[in-house]
Amino acid sequence: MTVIEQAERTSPSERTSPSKPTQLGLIDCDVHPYFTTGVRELCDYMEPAWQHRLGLDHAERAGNAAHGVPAFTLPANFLYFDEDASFRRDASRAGEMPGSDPVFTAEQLFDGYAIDRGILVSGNMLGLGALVEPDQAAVIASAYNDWMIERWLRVDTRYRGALVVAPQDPIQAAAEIERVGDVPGMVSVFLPLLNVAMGRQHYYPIYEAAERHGLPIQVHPSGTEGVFVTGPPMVQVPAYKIEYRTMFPHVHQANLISMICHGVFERYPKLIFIITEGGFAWLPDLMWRLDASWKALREEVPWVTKLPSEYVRTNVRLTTQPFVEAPQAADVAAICKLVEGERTLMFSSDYPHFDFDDPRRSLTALPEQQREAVFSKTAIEVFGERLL
Amino acid sequence: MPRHVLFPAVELEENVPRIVKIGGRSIGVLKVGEQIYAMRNTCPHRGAPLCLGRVAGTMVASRPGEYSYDPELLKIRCPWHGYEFRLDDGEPIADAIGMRVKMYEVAVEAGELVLYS
Repeated sequence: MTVIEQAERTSPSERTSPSKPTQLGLIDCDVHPYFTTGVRELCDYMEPAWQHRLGLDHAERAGNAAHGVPAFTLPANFLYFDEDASFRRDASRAGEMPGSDPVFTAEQLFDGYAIDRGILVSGNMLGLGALVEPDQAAVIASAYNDWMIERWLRVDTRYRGALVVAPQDPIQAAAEIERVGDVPGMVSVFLPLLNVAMGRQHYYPIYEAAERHGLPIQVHPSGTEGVFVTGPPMVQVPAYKIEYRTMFPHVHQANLISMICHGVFERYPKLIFIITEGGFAWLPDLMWRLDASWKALREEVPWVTKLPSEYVRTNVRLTTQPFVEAPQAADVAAICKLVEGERTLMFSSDYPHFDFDDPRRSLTALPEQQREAVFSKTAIEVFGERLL
Repeated sequence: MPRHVLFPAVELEENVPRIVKIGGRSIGVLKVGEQIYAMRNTCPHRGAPLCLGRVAGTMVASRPGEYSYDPELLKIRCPWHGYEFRLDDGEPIADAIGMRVKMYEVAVEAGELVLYS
């Protein structure tokens, strides 16, 4: 495990923690906080006009249940019914929303698994990119960031935040990075996915702002793939959750190829792109195929000045959950070696989702020489002093 | 077979698992209908607290496009990753899961719940 000394905090009085870690041995790059009661919690962080616009400003409009009309909801795909609603059944007190209590989460996740830092990727905002109205999405992203700062980052020193931007309007997204990018505790930009490939010019203001602030761009499955027209497309519309979940890597593969071929990492050489919960066993084949294609078709994209796989090594990181479950441990080790896990992989648990990875149980086949890098060292390199 | 007297049988509520520690092992005792089951409270897959899982009947293997639900074939579904195990013998619902849960013999003797390990 990597040992780095804890830096003195500038504002220790604002935060409380049961224990002050003096070293970072385990960093969880994917923890999902959820609203306790719903999106109305954002009212405290939203202008009255927007509260009214979204119908959140008084109870009867927000509920309207008597007529069977749902209140305003954020885009999420509830079409694939699962009896446990995709959550670990023990991730809350009885009757409470899993992942909605920052104190309970810190105890169960951080104390329970000796995790020193957890990066909050909003569970409620995963599908924000599928909202059809850009201003609405931008207002919600800003309100969420203030909610996260006040209700989570200030509760326990081990929390870190992925600030959310709405991808629909890149100018407003860049402004949001300016607004909260340097708030203590923020470590990355969470970019909800859209139906525009990530190598396209549309995103460049966001990449520019993220790079300038030294914030990686973090992406995650959205819960809108394939079924929302404005969400990221899949190669087919899945009928079952088993299809949908297994196809997550497709979206990330398409975006990674797009970013490399459009020269995103030539334009923004310091930008780090983090694929969260997208799998990683596919990466060697993608690198080899892209390199082989580049050797034949390089003239088409002359701004790609080196082997495409080189951009992966310098600019792309992937989180581990759901970790590979191959029948033979030796095969898992072989994949981790081919992926160059000591350079590319970072641990994540996906708490409180049902496919949570326990760092002590789920990664036993990870090669010994990669463990330190995967559990902490690479994340410390990527997020830097913002983790301390 | 070691005999362990647990607690008065009337204390066990239906569908509310009670967790006991025996020899350092966490064991769940569960009442479904009139039947009482005892099993290791640790999922053999990744160690989740198994007895927090949902107990229900089972969708048995069927032809494409058909659903065949057997409400009598009771299973517990792991609260984390969803692996399913039969309540009667701890075997996996799908053989390909390749792992099983240790079940224990349990009886009511003179009003007390007794477990044999």
